[in-house]
Amino acid sequence: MKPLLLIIVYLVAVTLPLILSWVVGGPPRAFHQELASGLGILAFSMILMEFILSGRFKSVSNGVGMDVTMRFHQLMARTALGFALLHPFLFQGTPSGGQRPWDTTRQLTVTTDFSDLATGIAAYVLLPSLVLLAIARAHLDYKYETWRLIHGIGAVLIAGLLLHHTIYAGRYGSQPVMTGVWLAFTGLSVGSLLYVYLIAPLWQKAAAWRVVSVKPLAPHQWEVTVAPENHAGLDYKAGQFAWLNMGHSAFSMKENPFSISSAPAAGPRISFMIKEFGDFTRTVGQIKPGTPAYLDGPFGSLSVEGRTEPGVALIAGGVGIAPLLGILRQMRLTDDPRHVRMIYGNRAADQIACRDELGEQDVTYVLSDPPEAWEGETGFVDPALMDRIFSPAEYNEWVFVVCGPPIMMDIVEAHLIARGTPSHRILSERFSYD
Amino acid sequence: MINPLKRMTLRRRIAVAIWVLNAVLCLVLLAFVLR
Repeated sequence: MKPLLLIIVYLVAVTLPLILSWVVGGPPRAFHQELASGLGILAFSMILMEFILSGRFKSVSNGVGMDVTMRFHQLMARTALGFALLHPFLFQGTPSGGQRPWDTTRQLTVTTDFSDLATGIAAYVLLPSLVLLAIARAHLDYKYETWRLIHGIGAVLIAGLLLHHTIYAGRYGSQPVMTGVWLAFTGLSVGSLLYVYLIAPLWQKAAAWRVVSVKPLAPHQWEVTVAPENHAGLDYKAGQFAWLNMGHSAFSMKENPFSISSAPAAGPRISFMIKEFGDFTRTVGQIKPGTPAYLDGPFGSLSVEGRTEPGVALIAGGVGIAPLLGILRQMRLTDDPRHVRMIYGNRAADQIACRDELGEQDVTYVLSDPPEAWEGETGFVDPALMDRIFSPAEYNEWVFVVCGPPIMMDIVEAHLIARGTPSHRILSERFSYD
Repeated sequence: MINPLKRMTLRRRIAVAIWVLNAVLCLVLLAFVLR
């Protein structure tokens, strides 16, 4: 889906409960009361939309890119948190244990029944914890799957607590129409998790894969190749990524996203380039051929297929070469007529993967810690290097595909913009969003 | 006239979009409150 359409859909979904509350709700109360209720309504609908922005729905993330989807997920969660934390402090009115006959539309009274408020209070404590745990994820000593489980369970719990709070304590949410709306919205959002963790794995089980090789490419870098079992394979574009699960049940959360380094034109087998980094990737070298595997994908928008620019620039740092290698392989296999030029940065010479295949023509290798006999470029992928490789016309007319460490990507993107490359010709994907 | 969004990094464009979105949400909220 196009970005603007997605934003419009998001706005409509998030504001719909507020607008419906306006239509079916009672007469407006004092400013603070309405603001308090409005903030609570918006916060809840934004929290429910977070389930759809999890990055596991291709119709959302492939349209705008995974980076955009996940950054959106993060930042809108913080807005929702702000709205939610503010809302209880703005209520003004006579505390009331329940609805009073002389105030059937709750103009003057504010419910103080502990049973109605308790779920809101619990959510009030859990929500900032969930957001803080997400922000601090990289610094915590949890396995990724453990963090993901906590995040998912926490989100479902908060949604359930807020549903109860909204229906029982809410001035608008307690009305039958709005109760129905909230039940449906919560059901759809939480139900989307059923799709991710139950329905999608069932489909993956029906289209299983098997590891055919695990090859070392460089110290601590491996190429894992999987082949489809009794099905046609994955319909993907070069440069995309998939969630890979090896040696576990299709329903297991032990899956990680990896860029596909193979080309669709090469056949149904799919290769991933994996660098040892975390708790799972450090075990990749021990995976045996024949191990069952499951794929969820493809995801990502790092594709040059169908683009009309006369040239393609591929700028890779470290294991960021993976999707770009897939793109280069595809271009070579399909005799793509576009010019292609690559910059490939690493720290040391032995980290360069697939050098024989990449060759020397139109490929610039950069090392920040070169050996003595190194005659190639030294240092980092920086503006000076880029200016030596690309002409002003190429900056303006080519498409640039960038993947690597975040700091490299920031520097490259800023320099491309400074050199006049329009943003729609800069394709990038990073797995870290803060 | 050059579209200023085309001269922004992705991170900056996301920030602009989020700010605009939040502003729209606040306007809708204000309309609800002041109805």
